[in-house]
Amino acid sequence: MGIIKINLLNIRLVVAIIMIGMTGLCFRANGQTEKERTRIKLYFSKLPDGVKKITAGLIAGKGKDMHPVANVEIQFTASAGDSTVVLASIPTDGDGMSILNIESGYVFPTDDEGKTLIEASYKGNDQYRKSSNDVEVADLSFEISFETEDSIKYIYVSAHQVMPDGEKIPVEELDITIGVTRLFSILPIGEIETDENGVAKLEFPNDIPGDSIGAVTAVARIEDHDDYGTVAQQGKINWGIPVSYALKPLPRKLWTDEAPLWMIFSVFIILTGAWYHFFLSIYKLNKIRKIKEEYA
Amino acid sequence: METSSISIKEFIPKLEKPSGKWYLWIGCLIVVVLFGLFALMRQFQEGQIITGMRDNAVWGIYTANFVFFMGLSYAGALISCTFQLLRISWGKPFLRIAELITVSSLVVGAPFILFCLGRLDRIQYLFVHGRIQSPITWDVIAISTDLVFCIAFLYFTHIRDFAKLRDIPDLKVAKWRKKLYRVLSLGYHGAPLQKKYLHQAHDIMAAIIIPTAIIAYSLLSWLFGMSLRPGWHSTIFGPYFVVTATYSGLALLIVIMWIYRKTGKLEAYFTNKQFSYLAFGLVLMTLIYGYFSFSEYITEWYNLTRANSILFAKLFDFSRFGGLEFIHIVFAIVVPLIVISIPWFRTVNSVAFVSLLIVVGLWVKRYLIVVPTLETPFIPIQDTRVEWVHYSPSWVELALTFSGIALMILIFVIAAKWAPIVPVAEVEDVEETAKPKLRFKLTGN
Repeated sequence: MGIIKINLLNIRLVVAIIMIGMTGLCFRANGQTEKERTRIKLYFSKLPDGVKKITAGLIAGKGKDMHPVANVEIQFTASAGDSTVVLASIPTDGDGMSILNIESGYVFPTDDEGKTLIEASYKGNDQYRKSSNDVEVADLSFEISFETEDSIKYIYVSAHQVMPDGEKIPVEELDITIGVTRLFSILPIGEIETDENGVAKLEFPNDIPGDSIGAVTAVARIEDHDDYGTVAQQGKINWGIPVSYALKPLPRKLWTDEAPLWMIFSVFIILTGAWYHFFLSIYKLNKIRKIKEEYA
Repeated sequence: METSSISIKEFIPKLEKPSGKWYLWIGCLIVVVLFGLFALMRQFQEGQIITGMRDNAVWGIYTANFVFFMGLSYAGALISCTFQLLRISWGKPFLRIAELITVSSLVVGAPFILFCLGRLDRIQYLFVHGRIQSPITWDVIAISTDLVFCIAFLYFTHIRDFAKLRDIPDLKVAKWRKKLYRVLSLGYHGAPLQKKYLHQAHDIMAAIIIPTAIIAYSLLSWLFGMSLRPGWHSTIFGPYFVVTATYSGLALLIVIMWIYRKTGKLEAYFTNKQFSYLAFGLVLMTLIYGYFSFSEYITEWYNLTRANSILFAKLFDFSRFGGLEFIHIVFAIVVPLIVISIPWFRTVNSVAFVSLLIVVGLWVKRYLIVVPTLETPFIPIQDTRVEWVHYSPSWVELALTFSGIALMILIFVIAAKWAPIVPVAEVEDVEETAKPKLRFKLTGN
């Protein structure tokens, strides 16, 4: 009997497992597949013209393979204490990016320390789970100036945090990268750290090519800072080596505007020869007509 | 020669009031031409999206037609001018057909390259901003020059016949036609000095058209040869194109001669002897063409790059272009060699039929030069649609192709109504032989 009981128990167990498995399969067959988890990458930048740029990138996936999610709404909010402001809802592009640019004059809600919590959230749908991310930033301002001391050129950068009451507090021990703009990117020329007054200086190299009058654009920048995000400021100065970018006239080649001379001469000779003979034969025909007149 | 007693009066009935059949035939041809114009109008309205040409195959049947008709034109010029200069008397009866092939195929063929242009409204920029280094510019200059020369040459060969027609008092044609004959004959009365000047003008044009035709068709080949594409970038393309052109033109000449011989009862002018001579010329051209084709393939095949190997695989794959390649080789090389080389097969009808096969085979060859190469670029476009990679002609392209053929026939039919299809005055001069103009200084005995 004991053997029979065990067998019945086993049978029930097997049936239960099969039922659970079948149920799972039925759910899959009905299209109720597991939603993909999503993740938002959030960046805050303050551009040289004071525009604040908030960039959110939405990716989704089930395992390690994540892919961008296009054409879904990302909501941006700014909050401090009890105050929350919805900034905008912007759909993601083909790369899953949603970008919000805020004019320089706009004032975020801030707490006593001058900090704002920026949040980007996605509310999810049938395919993707909801997700959100936030970053707390304070308003940092750079000022860039150029001075020459004993024939040595210096770039001065002062960094201040702007408080809610408008007060500017110097930010010390801030690592700033200095570079000059080139055609496609920024060429780094040095890194400096601010002192207790929020000021740092860098000797400007003498071998940087500029435009035709030697003008260069210097950029002071911190990137993805924990408290301030990415902040950049720039200034223009004639400290570069003047370089003339006027195009030199290209030699006569097959691929330039002016053809090689031998080619022009060849075509000219061939065409002249051909058309000379054509007009010669027409001249002969004209003689036939004249003879007709004499004949008459 | 049986044509020595030729008279212009023999051809008068063909030039006078046309029959109902003639009008019907003309009407049918005009309908086909008009349908082609309708297709062209649709292409202008809709753009090239209604053709089969896409990003990969930017050329198609239009370019194949362009090369084909240009080839016929150059061949006609080469044949007529060579026969004229060498005073080959047995060839005189068909010289007008050769000249008409030249002009009609130029008129029909040249526009086909324009149909490939996406923005035809900017065609004037080719002349305003044309670069002399560009093979396209060379081709435009060469074709327009050749067109003027060939029309002039065709006219020169008509002057004496126009004079004969002018002098027939009871010619039943419209008054304006008689007046036109009078104007176009330039007052030619057969005076020795007039004859001398006409011959000189004729010879000068013939002498200049031969190199012009060779240069122009070589330039056309360099449109392909100077492009870095698999199957095109070949040094043999210049002479290969000239040989192919001559071959196709000679074949078409035989076909048209056969048609006029049958329909116009011109057995006395297009004789067995002429067909026999031309058939030998044809078999010689077959051998030369076969040799050039083999040379082209063997050198490309021996130097296979990846793109070339893909191209070759396509050319001989029956699911792609293998069928067309088979038609080309059989029609243009194998059948002509067998039929013309073996006397038992060699008749006027078989030679004409084989010539027709050659014309078809050589059109297919032009298609095989253009399309498979464009479908096989060295660097394929990424993420393009599959249907955009492979070319197939649309109804618009086919309509314009048939319209071109109809226009060529129409030109022939109308030209044959204006003047005898056999150059009567030329044939009368059968006794004339080549007169060397150079003085040779004899030394010794």
